[in-house]
Amino acid sequence: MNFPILSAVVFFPALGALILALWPGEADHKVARGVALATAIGTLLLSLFLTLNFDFNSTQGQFTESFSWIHQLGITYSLTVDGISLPLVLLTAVLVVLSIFTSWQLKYRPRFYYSMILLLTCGVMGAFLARDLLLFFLFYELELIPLYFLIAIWGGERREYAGMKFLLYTLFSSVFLLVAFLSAYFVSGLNTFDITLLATADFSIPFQIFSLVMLTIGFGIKIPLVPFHTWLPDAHVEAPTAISVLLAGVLLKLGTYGILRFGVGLFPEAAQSLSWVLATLAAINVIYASLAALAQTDMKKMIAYSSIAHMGYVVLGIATLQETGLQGAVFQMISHGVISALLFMIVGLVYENAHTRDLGKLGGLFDRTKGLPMVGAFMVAAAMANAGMPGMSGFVAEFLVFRGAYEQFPIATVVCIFGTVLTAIYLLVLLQRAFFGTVPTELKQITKPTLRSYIPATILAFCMVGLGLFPNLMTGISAQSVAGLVTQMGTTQIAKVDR
Amino acid sequence: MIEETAQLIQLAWLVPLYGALAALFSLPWALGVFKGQKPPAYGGLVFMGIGFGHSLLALIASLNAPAPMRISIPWLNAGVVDLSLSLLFSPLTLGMLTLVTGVSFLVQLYSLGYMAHEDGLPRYYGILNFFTSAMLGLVISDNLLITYACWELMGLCSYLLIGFWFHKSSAAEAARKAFLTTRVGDFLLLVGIVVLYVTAGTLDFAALGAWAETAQLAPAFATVLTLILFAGPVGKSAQFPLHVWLPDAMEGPTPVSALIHAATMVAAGVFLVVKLEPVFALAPLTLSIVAWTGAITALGAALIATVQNDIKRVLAYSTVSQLGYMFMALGVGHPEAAVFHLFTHAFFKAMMFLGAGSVIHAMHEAEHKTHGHLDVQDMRNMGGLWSKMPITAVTFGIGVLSIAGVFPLAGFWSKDSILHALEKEAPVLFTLALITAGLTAFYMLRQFILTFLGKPRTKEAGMLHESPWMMALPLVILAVPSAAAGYWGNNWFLKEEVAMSIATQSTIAVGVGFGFAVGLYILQGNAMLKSLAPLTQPLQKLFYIDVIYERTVVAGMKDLGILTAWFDKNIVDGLVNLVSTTFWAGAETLKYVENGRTQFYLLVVVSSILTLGIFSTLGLQ
Repeated sequence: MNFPILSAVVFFPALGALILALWPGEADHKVARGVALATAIGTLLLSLFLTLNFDFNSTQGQFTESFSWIHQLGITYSLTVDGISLPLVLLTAVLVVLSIFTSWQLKYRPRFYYSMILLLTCGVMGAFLARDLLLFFLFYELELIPLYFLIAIWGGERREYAGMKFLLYTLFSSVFLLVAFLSAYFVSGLNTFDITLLATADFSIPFQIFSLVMLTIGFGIKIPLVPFHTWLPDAHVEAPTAISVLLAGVLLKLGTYGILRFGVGLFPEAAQSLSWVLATLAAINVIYASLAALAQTDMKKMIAYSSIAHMGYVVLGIATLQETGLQGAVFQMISHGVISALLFMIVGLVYENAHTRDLGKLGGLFDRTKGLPMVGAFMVAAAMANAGMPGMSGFVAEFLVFRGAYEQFPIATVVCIFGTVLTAIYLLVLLQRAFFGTVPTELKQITKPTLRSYIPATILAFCMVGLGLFPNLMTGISAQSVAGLVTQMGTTQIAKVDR
Repeated sequence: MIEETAQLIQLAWLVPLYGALAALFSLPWALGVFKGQKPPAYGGLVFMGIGFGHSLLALIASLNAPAPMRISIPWLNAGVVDLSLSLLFSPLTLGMLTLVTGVSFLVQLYSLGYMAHEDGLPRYYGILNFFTSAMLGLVISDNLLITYACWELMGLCSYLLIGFWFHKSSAAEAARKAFLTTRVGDFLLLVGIVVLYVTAGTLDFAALGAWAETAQLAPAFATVLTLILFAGPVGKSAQFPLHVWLPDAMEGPTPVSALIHAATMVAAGVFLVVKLEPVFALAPLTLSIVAWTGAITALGAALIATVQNDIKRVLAYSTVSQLGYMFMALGVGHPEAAVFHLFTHAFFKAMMFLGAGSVIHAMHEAEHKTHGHLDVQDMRNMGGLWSKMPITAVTFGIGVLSIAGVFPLAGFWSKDSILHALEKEAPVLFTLALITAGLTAFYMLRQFILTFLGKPRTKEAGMLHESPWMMALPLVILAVPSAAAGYWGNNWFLKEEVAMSIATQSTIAVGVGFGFAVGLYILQGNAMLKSLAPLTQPLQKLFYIDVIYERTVVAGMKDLGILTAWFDKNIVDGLVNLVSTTFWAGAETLKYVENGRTQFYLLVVVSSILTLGIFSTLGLQ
């Protein structure tokens, strides 16, 4: 038995959380932060080690660990990693480290705070790596509780409303998932929750459609898809910066990952016949959320709507069910993770130092002496990346999605491309109102951020440009697994035709 | 020897990198890590000088090279997408490299003087060099997507440079307008690129050309495809109806206007149509739309230019108008004439913008001394600068004669080449082009008279001095090609016979234009001007196009946003809250959110298990 690297990636953060929980005596924020940071960096190193040993030419899941767990019910503890989950694991590992950096000054109940972040990490990693439906569900639920606390305790004024809204929505979504998962178990008759086995099951078309609809609603709340999205702007506005970073950067990806892995993976024929629905939902998402972003005056709420809109591109990519589009979808998940995380960090820096996020009150932040010129530079870069500026990751991802989707869904694709214009409109409005002009006299003294607070943003900006200039780094990771998924869908089709 | 030549040419891929390196070099100063204003400026000059030297050597070498050279580096592979960083080195692209690096070098030298008292010089030089780098990339790119990438990056730099004086709200507004207006065109261009990629299976220009030769497209499809591709150039090259951003872009520093909004970036649209010429040739209808767009723009912008009083805005409208000429040539299938005019126009328009900058700079200093408050760009505040700024006046005068198309200056040859093409292919367009030529002569001489001749009309205008050598030298250097590039170009590259009839007609048109200008502005035709005032009203209002956009598209978009946000808050979220309130009211234990957490959680678990139980029993039966 080799070293169980995947379990290590999943449970190392939990170990850190446990240490924090059991820490003897009062731990001040430096100690708690230190433990959390060490754990997060450890997790990052483990995932880098995983990446270095990953075989990029294989279409199969790797480093698989599988143990029978609840034998009678066919529940296994099985983890595996492939080219679709690996980038997400890396993204999570990086963003957790950066979010701890972002929370550097946090002094209110630090032990609880950091242990919740680490527990959240454990849940997310587990969900990305699980090969068993119920194990996935367990991790999916595990991630929810810490996030509720993180919003409801460390959030803004309406934190309890926002936290509760998030909790209710996600629980509601869980019901749909559980229905789909359990019915797949019963209907398949294979007495297993292992998705590689379930993928071979012979589901009838009506049942597939039923399950896919369940999964789309369930994961759609998480992504979020319009009209199930209103929890997200509230959650973002109330959540502290670091949590917004994780929420936008990582947690939303659970939704699209779920649809791709379970929806498309288990019910490919239903996916074929319903792909136009997904494409339509994607286009609605892009346009509706972008238009809603236009009229926002709270910077963070605007970015939150932008984040919703840009998840639409992932869904459009998934709807293609073809290599190019799916590659684009995976790329966009990572790109969105990096760019939206960066945008939330910048908004956080503005709020921390200018003490408001209201676009009506801000102004002149480019100013060298009175404003935040460095923050402005980052904001320009991130805004442009978000609007699909070439040379940065968003452009490559979106181009792959558009190229993949145009043949099947020309109208949805053109609508989605128009979304890049809308993105440019609202982000330029944001830039003009907050950063151009002169600093309003009634604005309180703007403080200067420390150099340290720029570290996370700098790292993300590098990732953003790096992926944009050398996109094959990313496509190379996911290529084989995506190809494998497409082949698998094809063979299922052919097998059905043969029968 | 041949191998050395080949290497020299192939190494030209380094040229765009010089600009990028210069931009990186200025970063520490721009971010405030190092103090000081000048080092990035010197760095930029050195890098751009090297770039110019390199391009020039490569250009000379390429004239003897047997065939154009290509480089291709794999860049993006995913599914059916297989894109390479393809670069093409031909005499044309290397000539453009030389032009762009040369103008960029001169503009940077000029900026040393013009921007001497500005804060934020490192930022300025950084963006300027980054822009140059993107433009150079666009020039040698042999792949449509790479071209698009550079195209967008130039748009970004243009946005940042127009908004360079970010404190001014007019600059912020102009920057946003420029970016968004061109973005509308770029959106359609991107759609076109995606469709073209799906249809042709490649985005390499050479391969596209080969594909277009045998392609069998439905005429309607070919027309729509090429029209949406053309939307990009319409935005970037400020053609009607997306021209509105360019005059406002004059809010940026004047050297920027010279480099970006006159000589290089706005010509990118022309360049793109030239590269996609085989594809455009698939749709004759599109080509005539291209030509007519050019004609309408050329004439409309020339008309508006006749009533402008801002020294830079006259030049801006004149740029729009001249770009219209180039599109006319492209539309009738004569890209070589368009490119020729692109080259000569780059020289004289850059020079005239720099000349205008020289005047503005001097006016600024004078205003500073008198503590006056006047619009330093308004030509009505100038007059009689001839004797005070001789170098500026002479070089500007050469520019006026050149753009008007007076024999034997550069503009004559390239405009003649376009007129020649038009006469053969489209007589109506030819007439419009002739009228525009007359108008051009009129408004350019009007500008020269108002600025340089007569007596100073303000105290400030009477106390000006010639600009420092950093600013005067680029003017002098640019004056040489502005005068002679046409002759060289025609004798060395185009080798076209000058048709006497066309030369005569255009010279007559120019003479009439000059005559009106002299009559109205030197021989004191004030009464005449007053009687013409009602006629010029639509021109003053820019044919109301800006107002129409403001009231329809801009306002409409804003209202749509407000409506959506309202809908989202009150209907979608309102419904959600209504549902939850109803739900809470029904469930006693959950009435109070604070107390109900665990119970609610349990309730959901139990109810889901029940639901599932029922469902699975049904399913099993």
